[in-house]
Amino acid sequence: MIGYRYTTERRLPERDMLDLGDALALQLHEMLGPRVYMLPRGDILELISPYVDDLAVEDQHALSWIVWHLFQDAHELEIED
Amino acid sequence: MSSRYLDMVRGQRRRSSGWQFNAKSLLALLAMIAMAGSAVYWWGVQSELTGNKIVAAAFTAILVLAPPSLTSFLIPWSPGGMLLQKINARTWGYAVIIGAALYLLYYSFEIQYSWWHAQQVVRDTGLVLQQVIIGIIGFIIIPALLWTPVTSEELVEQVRQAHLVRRYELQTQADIAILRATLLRAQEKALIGFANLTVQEKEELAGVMRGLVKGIDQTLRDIGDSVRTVSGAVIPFGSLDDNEDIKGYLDYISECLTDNALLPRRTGSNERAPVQQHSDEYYDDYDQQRPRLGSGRR
Repeated sequence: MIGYRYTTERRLPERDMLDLGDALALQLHEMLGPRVYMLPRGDILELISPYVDDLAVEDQHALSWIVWHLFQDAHELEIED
Repeated sequence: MSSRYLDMVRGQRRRSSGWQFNAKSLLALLAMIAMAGSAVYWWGVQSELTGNKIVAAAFTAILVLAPPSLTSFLIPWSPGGMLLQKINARTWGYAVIIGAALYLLYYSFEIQYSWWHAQQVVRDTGLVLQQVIIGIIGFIIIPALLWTPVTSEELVEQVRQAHLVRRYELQTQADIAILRATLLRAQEKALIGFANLTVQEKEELAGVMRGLVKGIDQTLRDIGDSVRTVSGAVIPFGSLDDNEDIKGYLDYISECLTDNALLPRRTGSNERAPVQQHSDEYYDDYDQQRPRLGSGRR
């Protein structure tokens, strides 16, 4: 899951993080359906860990936050209508 | 900023907004017809009971709308509704709803029974009870099945809030129990006296201090998460562990406790740690001596 762009440290560039968060959110949504909106961040971290275990620990935590925020945004979209 | 995931959710929403005629739509149509029939029936009965048209109209409206709406609270239609019913079952409002719904069902049964009993053909054929049951199903049960007490979103929100409250209670209890056990163990070690602790015990004590800060950190984060999920308000929360000062103190304590002549430094070098001079100057110089974030040890 390491991205294409290069950084001077082990952390992923921001753009790659956002793209990866997007892909992971899609994957989890496909697996679990609308139930993903109820997932607490800790559970998201557990669910994405098989895909991101080669990343820095800080990146793994940041990704769990990105995915969690995407789910909350999607939930708000669903509630709006 | 565009997100492929959010675009997908939007797309799904648009696709699912198409209308399909299914059994539930048919039930809705049937319920509308039944309720129109119910209005005609109850107007006939109530206008016989009183000459006042306004009172008769009010009673008709009550008898058409109130029994299905109250009964809808008693007949959950989905697994979510079942769960909501279980959550609300212990509230006073629910007891009132049950009482009112049962009385309205009884009233409807009695009036319809008398009305059908007054019909010559029905009485002669002994079909009074069957007719009344058909009336109850059509006038009350079918509209009640169609109506849900709350929308799906409200249902999800109520169930989620109940779940979060319970989870937060359990989480806090567990956190407190863990913290208490850890603190007791640390106090026990402190009573033995730091000087008499074994190397492993000193390491454990250093770990306990880090663990306590992490535990407090995690609890605060979880509280922040819960508050955001329930209310939508974001609580800005800086991690204690990220705080340079706290990290410095913890590193310093850990170093003081675990670095000694017998234990190789954990940075990897095998040099012996200098014997520490515990004079007043030593404590005064604390700020200069303690390691800082980013100085090599993380």
